[in-house]
Amino acid sequence: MEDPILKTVNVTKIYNQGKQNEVVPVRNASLTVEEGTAVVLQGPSGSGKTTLLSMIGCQIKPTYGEIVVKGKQVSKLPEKFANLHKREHIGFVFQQFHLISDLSVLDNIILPLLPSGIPPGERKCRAEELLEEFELMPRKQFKVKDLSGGEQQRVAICRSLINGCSLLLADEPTAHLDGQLTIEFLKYMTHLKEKGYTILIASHDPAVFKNGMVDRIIEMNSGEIVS
Amino acid sequence: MMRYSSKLGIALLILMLLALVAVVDYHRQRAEYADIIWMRQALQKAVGLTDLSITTAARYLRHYSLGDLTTPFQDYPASLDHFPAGFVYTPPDVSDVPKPIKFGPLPTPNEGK
Amino acid sequence: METPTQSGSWLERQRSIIDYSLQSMFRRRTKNSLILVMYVLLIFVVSSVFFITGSLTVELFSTVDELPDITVQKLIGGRQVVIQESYFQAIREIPGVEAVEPRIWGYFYLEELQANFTIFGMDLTMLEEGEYQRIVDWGPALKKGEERPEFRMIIGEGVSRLLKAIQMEDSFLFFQPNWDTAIPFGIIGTFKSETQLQSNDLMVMQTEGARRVLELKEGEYTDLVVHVPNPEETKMIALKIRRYYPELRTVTRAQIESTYTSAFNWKAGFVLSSMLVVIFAFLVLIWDKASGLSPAEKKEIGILKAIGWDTEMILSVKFWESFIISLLASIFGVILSYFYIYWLHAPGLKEIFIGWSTIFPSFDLVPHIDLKFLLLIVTVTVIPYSTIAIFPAWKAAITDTDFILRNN
Repeated sequence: MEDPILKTVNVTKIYNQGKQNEVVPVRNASLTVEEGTAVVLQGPSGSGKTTLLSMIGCQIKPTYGEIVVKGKQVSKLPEKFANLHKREHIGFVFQQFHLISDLSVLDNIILPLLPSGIPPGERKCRAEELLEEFELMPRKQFKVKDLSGGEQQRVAICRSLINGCSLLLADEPTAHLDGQLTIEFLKYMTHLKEKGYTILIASHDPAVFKNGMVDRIIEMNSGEIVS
Repeated sequence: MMRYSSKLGIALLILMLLALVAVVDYHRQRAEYADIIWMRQALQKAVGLTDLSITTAARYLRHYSLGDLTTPFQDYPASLDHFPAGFVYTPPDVSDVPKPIKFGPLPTPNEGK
Repeated sequence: METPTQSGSWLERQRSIIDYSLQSMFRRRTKNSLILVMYVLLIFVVSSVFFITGSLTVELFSTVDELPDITVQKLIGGRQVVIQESYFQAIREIPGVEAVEPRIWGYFYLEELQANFTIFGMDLTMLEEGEYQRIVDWGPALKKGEERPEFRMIIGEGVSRLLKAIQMEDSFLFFQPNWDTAIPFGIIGTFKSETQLQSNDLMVMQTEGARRVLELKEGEYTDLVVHVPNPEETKMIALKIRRYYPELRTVTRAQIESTYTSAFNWKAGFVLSSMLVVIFAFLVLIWDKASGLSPAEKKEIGILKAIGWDTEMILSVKFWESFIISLLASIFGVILSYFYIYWLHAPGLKEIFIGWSTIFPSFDLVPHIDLKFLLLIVTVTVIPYSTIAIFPAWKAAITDTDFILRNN
């Protein structure tokens, strides 16, 4: 069997370890995600979905346990290499989008490419391809703050995909979207899955985990994986 | 659209050109100075007065290196300084003035150093 | 699926980061242009003061070798008074003294113009013959002067300009309150403008004429100039003069030189105090930079980290931002002050150095720029400014991304 694109083993995150206000958002989480599948991390607020997703996305380091993404143990890598791995293989769509609001759509999308020193021509080429795909071309020179919520999310997706990654992580993607936009979002996700992306979504929105494109649902509660 | 760094490059280039103009001008003016300096030295030799005639406002300012510490107070001890030129100058240096009231034999020339 | 790696060259990477720095400076253009203006102003003021004082000091020192070895004045009651011929004889007896020259000079205040002239008496034939001829623009009034040779004079350009205004450029009527009639002095020439910094307020006249204007009796002089061929002995001879005649004051060339050195010591002057405002404003700006980033800036750093930028890249962005500002500001400020001082002749600033006097020399100073000074400007502004800006960014960049993004 082929190696899974993502594997976590007994991942635990402890904040303020040893202090009175010790918090353990994630405890002994083990999961595997096969290449090309769409998986939803489901659970109520505070169940540790976001923290687990952040650890997989190399945003924060686990206290214990190991995370393997694309054959590399990212949990053990020093910051510089973890960043490099993140830049190359992982796309992350944040719940709050985290776009730089007074930059244009195009400039936001190419941000992850700047540290790699990819020439401006190629940067623009890749960005325009994505803009086309996500129907943002007419908004190319708009400032992000002038866009609607749904458009901002599409910009965030474009930005996460520009590095040519194969693993896409999305944290509560539908939290700020109404019904119509949620359907639209899922349509894009389905499209991406068809293109071969591996998708991991943290969500407690039934519209997401009941969607037909989802291959597997992992349920979390109080920081532990239930099923 | 032009890249920001290219714009910065152009700005720096313009500044460098300006700097070049300044440097060329600097050398031109310095070269012209040789003749001027001869004339100034000749005048200094002929008319042995000190200092530049840029402050003619007061006696102690015009030839202030010939003035002593009391000269600025020529009229009365609280007389006002000639502002602003008198304020820009530091007082004349009197640290090297030999003390007149000193008894005993004169020091030999070598001692003075 | 294509897999991009660190494919771009190092140069392209740096350039992209510089692009981004410039872009983010441009996004905050109001704040950054304010900083740039303050910065340029500070560099401009500091270098202008340095340039003007540097040039004036160079002017002072250009003729320092021609200064008299020892100048002897007589002081009574704390004031300089006329010195008698008897001293002149006695000082010449001191071993080591080659010659003693009595001088007649003083000031003449012309009330109508509120101008103070320097009167200097000498044998004008010395200027009329030989190489000294070159320093004077000889006028047509030579003949008139020859009629009464003791009442002829050569004036500085500034004096000439003033006298032209009262139609006396050929002949000037001297009058002192206790005189019955005025004495006309023929003006036989004007000192060339090259010598203006020294000769601007001068009226150099024949000894007898000067004696008349300054009301000095026969045998009385303003001061004495002592020539000492051996520079090693100067100090000793000055000391001897003071000990033989405690009422005399000596000024040696070394003393004049050290006065010259500190003459335009700008630190002691007006300019620094007026600059304090600018300096403090600049310090406030630096403090503002050093003390922290705005929430928006912090958020931006968090975002950049979240999408995979390394801490050092974020720091380079901040470094480039402040380095570019300080580099542009210091180059521009220095160039601006060069043109201000040496092309425009320092309007505004020169008034501080020449006071309110009526006879202004035109300020065509010869440029004199000390490379050490340029280096100093760089060390005291560019380096601290660019490094200090990194600290708050560094603090934000090492904080957990999550924490920044959640809290801002």
